[in-house]
Amino acid sequence: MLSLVRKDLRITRLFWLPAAFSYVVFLLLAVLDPYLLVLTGVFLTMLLVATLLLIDDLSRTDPLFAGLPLRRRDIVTGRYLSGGLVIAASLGLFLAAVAGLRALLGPRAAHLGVLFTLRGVLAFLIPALILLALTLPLYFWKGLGRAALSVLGILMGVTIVVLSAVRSSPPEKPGDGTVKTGFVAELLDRSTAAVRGFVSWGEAAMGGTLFAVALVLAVIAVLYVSWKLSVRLYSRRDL
Amino acid sequence: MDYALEVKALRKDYPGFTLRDVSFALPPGYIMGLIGPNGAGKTTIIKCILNIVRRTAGEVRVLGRDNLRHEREVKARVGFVLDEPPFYGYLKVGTIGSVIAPFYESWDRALFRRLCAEFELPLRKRVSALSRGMKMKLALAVALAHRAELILMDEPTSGLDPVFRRELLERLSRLIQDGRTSVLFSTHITSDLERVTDYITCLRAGELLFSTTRDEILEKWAIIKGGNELLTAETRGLIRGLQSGPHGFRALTDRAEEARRQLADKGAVVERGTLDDIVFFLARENGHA
Repeated sequence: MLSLVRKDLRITRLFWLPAAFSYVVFLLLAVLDPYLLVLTGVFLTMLLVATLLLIDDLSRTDPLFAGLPLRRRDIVTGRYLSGGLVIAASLGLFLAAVAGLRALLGPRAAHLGVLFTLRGVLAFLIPALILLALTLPLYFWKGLGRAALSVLGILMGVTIVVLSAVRSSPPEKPGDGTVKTGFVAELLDRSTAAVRGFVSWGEAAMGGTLFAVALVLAVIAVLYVSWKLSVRLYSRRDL
Repeated sequence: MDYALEVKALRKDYPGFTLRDVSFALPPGYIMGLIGPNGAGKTTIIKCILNIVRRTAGEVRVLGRDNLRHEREVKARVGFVLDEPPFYGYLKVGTIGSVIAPFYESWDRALFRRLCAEFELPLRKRVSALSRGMKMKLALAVALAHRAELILMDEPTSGLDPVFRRELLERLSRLIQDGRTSVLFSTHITSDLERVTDYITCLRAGELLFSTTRDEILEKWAIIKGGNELLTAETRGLIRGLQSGPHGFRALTDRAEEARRQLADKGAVVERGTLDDIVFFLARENGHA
């Protein structure tokens, strides 16, 4: 299993330099909204995870590793560990890039300090891990191409639902019947407000630490269910 | 007796193809050839043994152990070469060895390098720059470098030049001399099998036609040549595949002795058939072509 992780680190040696470069380029767009920064970071992370899967998909190595002294369960576990490792490394790159941004912009970017707190780290890790938990069972079931399309479909579906909700919800100011800030900005405002509301509610109900622990446990549970599902699906797949 | 490989009533259902209850056994220290026309099920058998595809029913025992219950242990003692060697194209030959090595406790780094040198594989060359034949050699080096006791090969000689093909076959012959290593390989080039195999298993459209020793095949199976007037109902009873023209017929029989007794004095020629003949005629038997 660890051999699989070592293998994944070896085959992905090439992409870390471009990955670091991407972070710098994206973050140098000087986006100062911490939510947007996290969103960008998670997006780049999922690109890295997809690249890891793509390398094996293009080389068609599934039958090779299925023939090595491994069970399908080991292969799945190795993938989850590698995915986790890519996310952790990507978090490191993200924080390094944000630190660079703060150093560059000084007081203008002081508020980005929140990203270095437990809250900031969890805001990065939780969506990344949930996306991983969503992607891998589909990947092990149908392969990368179909998994990517399905995840894209799910994300688009969620976006459409949220957009519809934004559109049909009453305007915040009475008498203001138009969306002045544009659809995407409106969507972002409302969704970040929803996230803020959820976090405030959780922290008020349980206290900050307990809420963070509850979130971590929930993500672990999601990952466990996802792993079990992946093992079951991949064990039944002919390669 | 613990066979190197024992396949019992193996079945695999695909949409449009079924491998039907195939059984055969390979004793340790021998080479078995798997033959049959395209789509006969040769690759499916090899993939079922490696659990690359899941069997629908049946049992596979490798070196005395069930291949699913003892999957890791079994695979650690098996080397394999797949039809399409699946390696990372952008990695170098030497790196492929380093990527695969941690998966096998018995991996012999020095042996891998020696095999690469013997096969004239430059360690610093990228896999994507290798020809199909060279990729096949790399797959062979990987399959042999952990001193496997059972080696499974799916069309290992396709894409290889005749010189290396001959060398490979000689290597396989030397490999089994220790009495513990066995080889199962599928091929379309049946002349390869005649040189080195001890056992031959023949499939057609997912069904096992026979699995026996090469000597028994060469003893029992023969080609009959004669004039069309010899094609009586009695003669047809001996025949397992027929090719006829205005000047006579060629046919395959699996009862060579009986055919000689019945037909030799009537002017027919009953001669030893090649494996190529056997595959060709069996593919045409009862409209299977």
